[in-house]
Amino acid sequence: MSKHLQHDLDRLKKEILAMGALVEEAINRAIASLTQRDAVLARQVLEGDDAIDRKEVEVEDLCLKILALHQPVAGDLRYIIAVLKVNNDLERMGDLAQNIAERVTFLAVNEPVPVHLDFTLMVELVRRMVGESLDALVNQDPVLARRVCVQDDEVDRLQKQMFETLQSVMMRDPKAVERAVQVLSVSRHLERIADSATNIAEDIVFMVEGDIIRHRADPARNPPRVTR
Amino acid sequence: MPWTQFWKLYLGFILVVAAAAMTALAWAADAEADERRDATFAQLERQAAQLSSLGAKWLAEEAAIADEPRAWSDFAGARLTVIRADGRVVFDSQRDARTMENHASRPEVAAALTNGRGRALRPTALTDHDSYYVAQRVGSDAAPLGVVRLAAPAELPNARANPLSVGVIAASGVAALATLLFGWALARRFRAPLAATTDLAEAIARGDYRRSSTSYESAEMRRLSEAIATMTAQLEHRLEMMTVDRNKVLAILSSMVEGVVAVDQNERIVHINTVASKLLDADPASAVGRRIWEVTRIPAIQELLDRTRERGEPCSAECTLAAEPSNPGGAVIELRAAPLRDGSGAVLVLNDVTAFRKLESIRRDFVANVSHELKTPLTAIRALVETMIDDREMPEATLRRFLEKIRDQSMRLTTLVADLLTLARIESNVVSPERRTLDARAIVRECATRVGAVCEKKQITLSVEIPAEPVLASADEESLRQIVDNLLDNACKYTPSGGAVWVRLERVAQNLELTVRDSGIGIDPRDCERVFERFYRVDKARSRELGGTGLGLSIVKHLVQALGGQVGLQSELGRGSTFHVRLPLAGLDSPNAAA
Repeated sequence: MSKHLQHDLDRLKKEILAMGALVEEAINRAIASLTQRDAVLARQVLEGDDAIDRKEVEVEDLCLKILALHQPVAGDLRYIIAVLKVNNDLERMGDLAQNIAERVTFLAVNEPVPVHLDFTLMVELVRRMVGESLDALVNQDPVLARRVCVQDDEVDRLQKQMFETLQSVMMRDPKAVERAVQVLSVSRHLERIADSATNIAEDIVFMVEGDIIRHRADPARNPPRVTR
Repeated sequence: MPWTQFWKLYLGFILVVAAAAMTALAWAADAEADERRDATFAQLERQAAQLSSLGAKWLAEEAAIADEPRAWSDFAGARLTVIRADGRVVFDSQRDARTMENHASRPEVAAALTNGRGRALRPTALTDHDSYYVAQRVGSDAAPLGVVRLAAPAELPNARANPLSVGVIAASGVAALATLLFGWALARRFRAPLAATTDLAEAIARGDYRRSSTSYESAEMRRLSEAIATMTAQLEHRLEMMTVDRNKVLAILSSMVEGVVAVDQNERIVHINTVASKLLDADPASAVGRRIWEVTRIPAIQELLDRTRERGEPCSAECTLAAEPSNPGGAVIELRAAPLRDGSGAVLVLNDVTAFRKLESIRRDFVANVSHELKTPLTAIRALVETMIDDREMPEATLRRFLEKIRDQSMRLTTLVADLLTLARIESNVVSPERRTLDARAIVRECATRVGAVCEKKQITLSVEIPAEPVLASADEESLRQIVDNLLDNACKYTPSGGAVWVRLERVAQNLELTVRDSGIGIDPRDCERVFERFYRVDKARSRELGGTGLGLSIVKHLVQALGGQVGLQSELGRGSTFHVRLPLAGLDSPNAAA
């Protein structure tokens, strides 16, 4: 492999990981702002979106440059394609974090929904999925990536539970509808973040093994997606 | 055996010996050949001289005298030629004189004609074989008659080459062999200590400093082995010093409270200490050698390192780590990075300032809270007083209501200030509670009675459980009363109408245990720890509405601690809260009681 290509691939790895770091931080902050009802933190997340967008463009530029300049093949080509897709997914996750933060700026200044909502489990799961999908990217670890895919099921189940709880709240108390809708969309965004993390994990399996595991019948590996 | 120094040397030695032997042989051969030639020539010359007298007769008689000279030739054992002065051959013992060419130009003949005698060692005209030729002039110098020539063939085909006797060759061969064997033995003698010293040096290179060097007879080897021994000792000493230094540095780094990460110019981790690996959630063994951005995904760290490298000067930043179950707010880490002096990387120091930031925020909150709490009643009082001044014709009833309100507000101020003072006093440990043995039952009963009136008004069921036997606590009455009062007040305040409050006093082991349970609104488990902070209110608006100062629980906590006890809280949102107070019983020499 040429030295220049190796150098560029190294830089690409650094950039995509920096992107991942920014997105992970945004998600963690959005989650913290949600659990602590902290509008200030939520606004910080909203401010951070520009940096994520800029980084996305940077990563994409670098990918295109490598493709055009070195015309890589086989593993390197798969790597760059996977990075492009991961980049895309990360950007979407960043946007979802923004959306959550936006909801939090509303929710934090209003009374909590009059029911005991436990986001702890869902939030923890989503955070772990995001972290593990990025760990899998760093270590190019398809085993870890597959583990991320499996966890998506649980998040879907929790999201469904949340939906049912909020539905009953809305039916009981019309005054709470506005807030409940906001909370509902937060839980939906969380679920979508988990989906994106699953996508990243799938991209990593493709990157390492060259095997496309999306849309497989195996439910453990590829749970049905509700939100898309 | 490899092409060692020894073999190189020995080959050179072989060559030198061989060259010497060859030279000696060549010289010997040359000398022998000379000697033999001289002897042959001398004999031939003697015979030729004897024949020269007969030569004159033979020259005069020419061909007719063939038999006589042939006899002489046989006698001398040499070829005899008789040549006239003009070069014509008169007689030859081996060939027919008539067919022979003119011999005047033959070197020995020419020399004899001019000098009287001539000699030559040259090939004969017919064969390539060398022959000795000796010519003797016949007749006087002035009028030579001719030449008598004797010729004898040389033993070897080429007599000018160096024929050597077998003895000489054998002797020189034996000498050369002996020299070589001697040289071999000598070289071996030099080689053995050299090899031993090399082994020693190799052992040292492998890190084995324990091997001792042998002492040698030769001064050079002794010096060398001594030098190596000295070098080994110094090397070992230095290495030991370096190891000690390194361990010291590692020990210092690993026992630092701050996390330390060192990276090289490629941002690969060179060192990471225990604290840093814990903070960054990295495995220290596998993290070393990897890029820092692979090990940790904290954007602030990458940004800080980039900045440090660009500016080439120490920079700092702060970041909040993701929340963990043990740390719901997320640890706050102060980051400081400095470039290494040789420009080959940077060192990053991580400092967990979570507690510090928390204290800061508590202090900030406290000041803000105190000001706010003091300001609210003051504003109300001021507004009321201003209205009273402006409105001279205020009805008596309104005036009275205003004054009552002013009294209420000033009472609230008094309570607040009193609470603050109590807190300040407990916290600064200026006055320790005056302890005496008292029955906790009486105090609990008294407080319950007081609160009972409020409960009745609010329609809260108050159940009091007090044991039959006395519960003797070592405390001062005022403190204990305040503890029970504050807890009961709190329970009533946050329990809606129709709810219930339970108070239970009991002896558990060597402690007094007071439990106040309510069926109120409860406290979020996340807030459980903070409710004991000054002015911390789960819900600010509600607390103030209920007339709380935000200091009650804080006072309870401090008083209980001052009395050597503990306070705890279990709560669930919407289900109610349970406060436990545990104090040491009186009369027991527990260390707490003595304090």
